[in-house]
Amino acid sequence: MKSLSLSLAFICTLLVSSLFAQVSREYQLKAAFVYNFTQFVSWPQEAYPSNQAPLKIAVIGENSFGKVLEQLVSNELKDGRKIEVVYFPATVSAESLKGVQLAYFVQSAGANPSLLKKLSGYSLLMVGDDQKFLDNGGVILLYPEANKLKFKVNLDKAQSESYKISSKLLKMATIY
Amino acid sequence: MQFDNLPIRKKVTRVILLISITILTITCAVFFVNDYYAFRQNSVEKLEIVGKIIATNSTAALAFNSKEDAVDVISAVGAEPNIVAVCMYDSEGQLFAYYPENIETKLKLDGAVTAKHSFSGGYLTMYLPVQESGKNLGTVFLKYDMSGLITRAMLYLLIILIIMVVSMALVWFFSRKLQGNVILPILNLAKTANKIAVEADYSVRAEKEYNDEVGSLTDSFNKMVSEIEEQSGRLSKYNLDLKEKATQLEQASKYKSEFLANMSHELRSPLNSLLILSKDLAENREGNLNEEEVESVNIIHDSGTDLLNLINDILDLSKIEAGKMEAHFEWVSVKKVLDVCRNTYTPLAEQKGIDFQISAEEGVPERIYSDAQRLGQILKNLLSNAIKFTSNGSVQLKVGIDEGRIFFKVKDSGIGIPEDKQALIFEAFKQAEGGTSRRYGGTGLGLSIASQLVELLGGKIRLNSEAGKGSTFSIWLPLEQSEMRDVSPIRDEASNHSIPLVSTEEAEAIVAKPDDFERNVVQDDRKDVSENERHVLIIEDDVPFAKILQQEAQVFGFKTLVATSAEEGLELCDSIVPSAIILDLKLPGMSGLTFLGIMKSKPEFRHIPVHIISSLKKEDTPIKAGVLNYLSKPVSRDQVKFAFKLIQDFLSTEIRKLLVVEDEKNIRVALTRLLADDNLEILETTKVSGAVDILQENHIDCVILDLKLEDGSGTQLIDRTSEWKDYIMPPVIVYTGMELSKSELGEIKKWAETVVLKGKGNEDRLVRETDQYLYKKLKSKKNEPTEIASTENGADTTSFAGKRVLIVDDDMRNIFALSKALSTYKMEILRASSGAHCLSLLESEDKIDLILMDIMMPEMDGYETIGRVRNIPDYEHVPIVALTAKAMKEDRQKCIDAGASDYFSKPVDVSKLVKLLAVWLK
Repeated sequence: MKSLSLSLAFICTLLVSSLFAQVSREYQLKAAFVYNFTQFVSWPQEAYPSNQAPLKIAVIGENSFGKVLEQLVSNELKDGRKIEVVYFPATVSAESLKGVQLAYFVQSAGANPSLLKKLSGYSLLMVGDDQKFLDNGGVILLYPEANKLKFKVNLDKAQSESYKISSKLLKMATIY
Repeated sequence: MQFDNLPIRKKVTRVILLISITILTITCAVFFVNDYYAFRQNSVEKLEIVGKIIATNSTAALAFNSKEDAVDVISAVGAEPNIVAVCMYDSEGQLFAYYPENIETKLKLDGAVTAKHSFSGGYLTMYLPVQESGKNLGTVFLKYDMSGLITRAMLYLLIILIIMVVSMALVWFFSRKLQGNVILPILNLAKTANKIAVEADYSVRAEKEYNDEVGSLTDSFNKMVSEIEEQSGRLSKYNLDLKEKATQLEQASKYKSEFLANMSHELRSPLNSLLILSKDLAENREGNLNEEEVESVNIIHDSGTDLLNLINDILDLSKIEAGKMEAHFEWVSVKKVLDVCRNTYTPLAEQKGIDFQISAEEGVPERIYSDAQRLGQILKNLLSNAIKFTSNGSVQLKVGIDEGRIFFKVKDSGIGIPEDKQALIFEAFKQAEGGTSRRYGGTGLGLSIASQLVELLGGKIRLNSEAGKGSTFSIWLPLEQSEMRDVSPIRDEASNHSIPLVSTEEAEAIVAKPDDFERNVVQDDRKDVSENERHVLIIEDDVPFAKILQQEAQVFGFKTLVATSAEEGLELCDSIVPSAIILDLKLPGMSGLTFLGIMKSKPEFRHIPVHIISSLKKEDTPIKAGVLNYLSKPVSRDQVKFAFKLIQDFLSTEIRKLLVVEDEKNIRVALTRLLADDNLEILETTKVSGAVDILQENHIDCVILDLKLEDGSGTQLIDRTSEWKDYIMPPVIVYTGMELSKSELGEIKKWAETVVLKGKGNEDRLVRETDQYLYKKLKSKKNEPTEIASTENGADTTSFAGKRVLIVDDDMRNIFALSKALSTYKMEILRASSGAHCLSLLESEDKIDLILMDIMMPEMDGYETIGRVRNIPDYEHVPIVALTAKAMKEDRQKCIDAGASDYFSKPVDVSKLVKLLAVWLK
């Protein structure tokens, strides 16, 4: 029942996203990817501030997702934790991203190597779509290819963090 | 074969096999079923693992909607050969990815799917949900080919089969091994038991092998066998004792018979004189006896006659008991038997004033195959008894047919026999009352003899009687005898044909002439007879073969007479004397041997050559020689031709050739003179080698052979010729001076026709024998024995006057009686009381015309005396009549062998003796 309701929710999100014309088809897909990343990456207990603390997804830079991502994760759970979406400007400090487990750097927001460097050791899964995102210290890069959305993983970087990326996910990724 | 009757070893093997098969089958079936389900379960589990791997590995692909990754995953795993198809559906049930590419499958699932699997159509299908973190991402569908299961099942069945076969072989092998231990001892025991049962050898013991139940069974068995062995040992000992006793008894019985035979002689001699003298006295020729004295003399004579009858009866009985009585079967005319009875007993009955009637029922055959003499004796006993015990009323003799047998019933109205005595009546020496004998006379042996004779003839005798009301004695006899009973008497007759039996004279008279025998089915020349032509008589019951013989005979220019029975042959001979005879031995009715015997005993037929063609082998017949040739059936046409050639040659050879093998010149000369005849060529030789040469170069018709020759023994000649192939030795007459022992004589008789001893006045006999074997008619009949004498009807006593007759007897009473009887014929009687006395008388007296010689004399017996008389030059041919009380055939032969001209049995019937003397004194 749960899975049924989940899948229904997923379908709903897709329907909703199509309804919100202002959110591009690209970001609707990226939102789904982000959600899926939460499902294939596991964070240790220490990555959370408390036992009841939700899994936080931070959208950094311009919010291209609109309400799509929020709606997508609104009723979902990860390891029994609620999922929350928080929004930060591209100028966000590393400090404010403490307690966030996944950060999506929208476009140029990911082209800030100093920030990204500071964020290493934060158990933060950094996802971005800037071309130099991985060079600048990002972990997962989403990029379009042959009319499809793909992703590339900086495995060295990922392994230095405390979270674990599922091999299933890695299998789908291009390794940096 | 039913299981129950199978040998035990097979039973055991089969039981073991059955058990093994059952156990193996159940085990294999359980394993098979178990494996079947295990395999299925295994397949499900295996597929589930594969499915789970796919599900797990494709979560990301589903989540990220990457069909390539999904296909990657399922193609990697779905490459397993038995996996036919793998499909992946997304969370909405839409077909997401599939492998291999060329499959048809559902594009959309019907609603939500949970994990499940099913078997159908040789495939295992399975649905598995794809989940990640408890979220349902899609469904994996797998299709698995289960044909491996069938292959596996087949393989399993094959293995089971191999296991079965191997197990059976092993079971069989081990059950064999087992037999060694368990079954073999039983089988051995059974084998031993069987051997003992079959061979009756109780010394065999079964071998004990183990100390089990079979071992103890073997012990018990051996114990039982030992007991049986012991008992049979005892039994055989008893048997031996019994046999010994039986031998002793037999010996005793033989002594008894001999004693009786001797006693009968001893009794007859005095009786002889008693009878002759009393008869003579009773005639009262001188007229010097008064009536009372004549009466007394008659009583003496009658008593003497009774006594003689008694002695004869006792002799008969002892012969029967000693098994020496033989039946002499021939065709007997019933009418003639009845005529004899009528002629004999009508006067007796009339004398007593009794009515005597003979009646024959309808259907009584004219002839029966039986012994006329014995039948006459039986009827005589019954009739004389009936007349004896009937003082008034009647005696009837009835003849009829009852159930294929002829019966004779003698019914009287006499004193009858009380019921309690009836059983005893046929036993010897028993009569109804002790006093019966005294009142009615008779020996009481008559019925006993009659009943034994009836048995001898293959019949039965019954008595119906009531005291005071008369009795009826009935005998039933077979109409014909079986072949077996026929053989011995005929053989007897054939070998002794030259000695007619005085005692059967009467019987011969009533032997039927086969007038009524119309069995000729072959057309022959009997109606077309002329003097100058040669006739061959063919006696053959096989008509087709007879016709073949007839054809061949005609080719050789013979006229033919064809008879299908010996009886018919005899009849034909009476009307036409054939030139030659072809004879079969196995004939219906009278046998060929009997026919041959009759032909050889009749002077007018004796010379006719007889050619035998029979299915009997020559060795199996008593025929040694005396026939022209002998062929055993089947014969070829060429052999038949040869037979007629032989006959033709024989008949065209007028001159017969006689070979005399003798080393003494005088005897050769004597023989040549004795046998000289125009038609006879006599060849002489003194040596065996000479005889061999002559036999090789000439067709010799007869051989006179001395045993002692210049270059060896006469028997060597026989040895030499018997080596020649297809050579038939002509008849051989041994003429020897050697005294031969009984065994030597027996040896010689095997190949020689007859043996004539030299120097006992036997030359006449030699001539007679020679003539017979040369197939010539006798030159002279002067030396014919009784045959002629007995056929003389009346005695011509005119020649008796003045004839000198010497009576030699140790019993003076006999001499006295005989001389008294003979002196009435004006003969001059000389008397000698011993052999020596006889010889000295012959020396001193003038020529004597005839000698009557008693055989049983002390010191020098009759045989010796005759031999010596024959050595006296003047007495070589003087007739000597031997008087013998022993009326046995051998005795008569002995008399003739010793040189007697004739013989006569005691006690002397004067009238018969007179007839005999008339012949010899002519």
